[in-house]
Amino acid sequence: MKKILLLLLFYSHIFALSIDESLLNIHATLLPKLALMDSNYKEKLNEGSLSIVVFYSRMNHASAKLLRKNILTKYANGIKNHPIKVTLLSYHHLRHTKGNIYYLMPADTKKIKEVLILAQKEKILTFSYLKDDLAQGSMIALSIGAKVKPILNLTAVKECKVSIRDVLLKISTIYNNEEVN
Amino acid sequence: MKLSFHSIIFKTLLSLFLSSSLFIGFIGFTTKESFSKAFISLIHEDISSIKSNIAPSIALNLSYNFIDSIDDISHAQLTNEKILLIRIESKFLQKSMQFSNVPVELEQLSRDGHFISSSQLIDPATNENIGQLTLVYSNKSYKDYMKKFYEWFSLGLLLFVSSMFGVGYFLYSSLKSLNILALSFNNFDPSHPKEFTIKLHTKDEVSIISQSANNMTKRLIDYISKIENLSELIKHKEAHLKDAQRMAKVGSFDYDVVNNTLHLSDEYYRILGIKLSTTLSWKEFLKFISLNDYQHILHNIEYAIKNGSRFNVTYSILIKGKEERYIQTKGKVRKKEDGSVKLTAVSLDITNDVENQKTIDKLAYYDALTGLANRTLLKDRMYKAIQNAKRNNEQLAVLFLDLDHFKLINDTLGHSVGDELLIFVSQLLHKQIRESDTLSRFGGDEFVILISSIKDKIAAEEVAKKIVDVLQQKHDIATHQLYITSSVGISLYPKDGITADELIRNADTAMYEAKNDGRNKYKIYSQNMGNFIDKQLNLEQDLMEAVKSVHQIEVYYQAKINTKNKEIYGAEALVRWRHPTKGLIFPDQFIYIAESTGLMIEMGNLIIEQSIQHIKEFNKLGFSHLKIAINLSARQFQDSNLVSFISIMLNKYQINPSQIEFEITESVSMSNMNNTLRILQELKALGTSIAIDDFGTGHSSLAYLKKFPINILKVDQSFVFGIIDNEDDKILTQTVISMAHSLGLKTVAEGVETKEHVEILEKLGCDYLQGYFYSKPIAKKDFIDLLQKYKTDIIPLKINN
Repeated sequence: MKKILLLLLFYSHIFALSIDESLLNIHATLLPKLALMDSNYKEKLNEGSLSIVVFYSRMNHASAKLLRKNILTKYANGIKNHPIKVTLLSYHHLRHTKGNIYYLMPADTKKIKEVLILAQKEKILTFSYLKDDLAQGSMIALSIGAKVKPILNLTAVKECKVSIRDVLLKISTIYNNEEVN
Repeated sequence: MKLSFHSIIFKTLLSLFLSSSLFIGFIGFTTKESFSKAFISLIHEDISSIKSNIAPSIALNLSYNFIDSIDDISHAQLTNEKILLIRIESKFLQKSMQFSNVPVELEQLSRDGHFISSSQLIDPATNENIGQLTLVYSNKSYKDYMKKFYEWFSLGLLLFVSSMFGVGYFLYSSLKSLNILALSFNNFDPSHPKEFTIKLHTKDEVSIISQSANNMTKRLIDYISKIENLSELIKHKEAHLKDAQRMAKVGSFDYDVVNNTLHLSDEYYRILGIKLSTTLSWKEFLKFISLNDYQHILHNIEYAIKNGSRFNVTYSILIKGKEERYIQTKGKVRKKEDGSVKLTAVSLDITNDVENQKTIDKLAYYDALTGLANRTLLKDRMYKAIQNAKRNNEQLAVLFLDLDHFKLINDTLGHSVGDELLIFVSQLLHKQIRESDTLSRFGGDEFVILISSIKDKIAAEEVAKKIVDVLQQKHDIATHQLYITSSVGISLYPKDGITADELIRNADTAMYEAKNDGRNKYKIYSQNMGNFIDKQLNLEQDLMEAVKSVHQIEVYYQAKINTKNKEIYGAEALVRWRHPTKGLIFPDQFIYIAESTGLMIEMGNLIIEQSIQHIKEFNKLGFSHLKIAINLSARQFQDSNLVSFISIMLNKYQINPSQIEFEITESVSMSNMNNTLRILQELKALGTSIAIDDFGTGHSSLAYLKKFPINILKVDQSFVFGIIDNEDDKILTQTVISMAHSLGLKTVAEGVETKEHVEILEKLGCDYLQGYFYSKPIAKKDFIDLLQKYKTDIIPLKINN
């Protein structure tokens, strides 16, 4: 597992902005479960469905679709009796969209920030493909290193006024701006 | 010291040991259990805490598939030495993950007693059970903890056991003194209580007990001492009681009716005349009772046993088959609820009492002197005889016999001769009557004969005549030959009375008639004889009144003539009773009544006073030369005031004592010699003269005549009567006169009735003459007339009234 991740990291460095499908697959597994880490996730359900909104750009539209496909495949029966609804939303057509979690595909910082502002307004968890987005105010990213661990931006979480469950804190690495930069 | 299983020390120590062991066991067990559970509980809490801390993280990591993070978490936990192993099993894992600090498998750790705790891994995101977390927690801390617990517990146990040993030793040493005390009590010898002393050098409760025991011993010694003294006293009293029983002849016995056992007191053995060691059965005991009483006594006792009552029986027993003793037994029978029946009795040997009673009965019913029936028995027999005669229509005769002049025999020959005579007469009379007749001594010389079933008056007369004839013979009594006669009165049932008293009274009356008719004869009662007894009683009453009234008692005087000049020398004062209805009564008819009723002293004093008063009158009339002789009876000599009374009278009437002469009979002078001599000397000292009356009829000795202060001897008229015809009487009279003269005494002859008497007595030298020849006893007035006539007419030889 570690080797695979190292390999993926290697590719990501070699092919910038290229989307790693393996990583997407991991993210597809994590996203519904991270959405449930929101203490108020039930209030944010969309007609009983756990709503995942995936923001993509043109370059990674296919990846977004793949991600949606993977999620819906993995959670064909939904999660915790909630059907899963995955909404793909382009950075260029941002609109207020309710959901339990926003997944941010790689994009320019401006777009990322716009989505984050939108998420902050809706008090929706944000999960970024790139951990660099944490610096922009994304709440969660995945640390791919010797160990794969979620990175949690507590500042963003607090600012967004999203209530997350403690257990997430226990298993996560707390994002530090300086350390990450 | 030896420890007994039953000793308090052993029991106390055993109890202490057992209770301590139980306590320690209980405390140890409960403490260990509670401590162990508490610690295990803490461990489980710790485990729970650890699991609650890591399980969600592990579960979420599993859920997110962050396996490496699970490693970190597990390894981080394994830094805790207490956590030996962590195993994670999950559907997300191809095989279970296990993290361990020790190279030992879970099963081995389980066998080693480490704490193993498993719990489900719940996905925090989905709440799904995604696996199981197993944690092995080291038991080292538990073991260390329990080791520490056991160390402290052992130390505590050691301290506790030590303290228990201390307490045990304390108890042992405390109770040891109790054992010593017990041994001391065990060695206590009641016969030597003084040797009992407990010495304990402790100051605890046992010491107090020992002190109390010593005090108790002291008190016990005192008590034993008192008991010994009491025992001695009881022994003494028991001995005293035995002596008293022996002296009182009181015995006692207990008879246990149910067990048929008999216990006799020592005295009872003596009463029965058998040895103390003899064992008697009840039947053997009863055999002592005489045959006459046996059935009666047996019936009484059996009745008492049957009814549980008292009994009081008198019976005779035979000692050794011959000696008869009389026993009075009082007893009672006690019947108890337990069925026991006990007879307790006290027996008194009343043999002496019975013998005495017989004697008393004899004395009560028989005359002690003659052995004849007394008047009580006579009356009893008369009562029965009268009843019998009444039933059979028969006659009875009662003969009342009185010896003539018996008093004279008593006075002259003494009472012993009189008594012998009475015995002789009783024997003689006994021979004259039938066995069926009753001869009784009625009193003095009086005998009453009850002749039962007599045919007629003649038959009674025949018996009376035979008795009179037999008695009027010469009888040899002691050394004397006595001529006696008797007077007999006869009364007949039913003609002369229907009761014993009537018959006796009437026979007595008839007897007096016989006496009045010259004695030595019998008389049959007739109604015209009157009732002598009634007469006597009336006479007694009259005499008492006469003495009180004074006037009925008169003093008569019989002149005494001087032989030489034929002048009235003096007179003898003689008492007469002028009865208001019966006229003049002579002394022989009332003096004996005065003697028997106690009037004699009073009447004697009356005569003395009257005589002295008369002397004063005589003196006033010029007859101051007269010497008046006053008779003194034996009874008057018993009056301690006699001499003082005479002296008072002499002073009262101013009479020269030489004008008084007191006459006493020989019998009076001899009856109480010392008293008589004293009174005579006192009278002599007063200046009066003393004359012996009826000299020659008594038994006075010449020595006494010489001893007595006598002036005159009066020759008894019985000698004077015979001096004319009887030479012996003449010689006796001459001897008396000569003797008197030789003693310097004057003589007076009584009973001078004829001229011959005067002539002979003149020749015999008698100094004074007294008798009917000169003058009979006459009243004072007549005597004064005589004196005056004699003085003027001078009648030389005879004074004719």
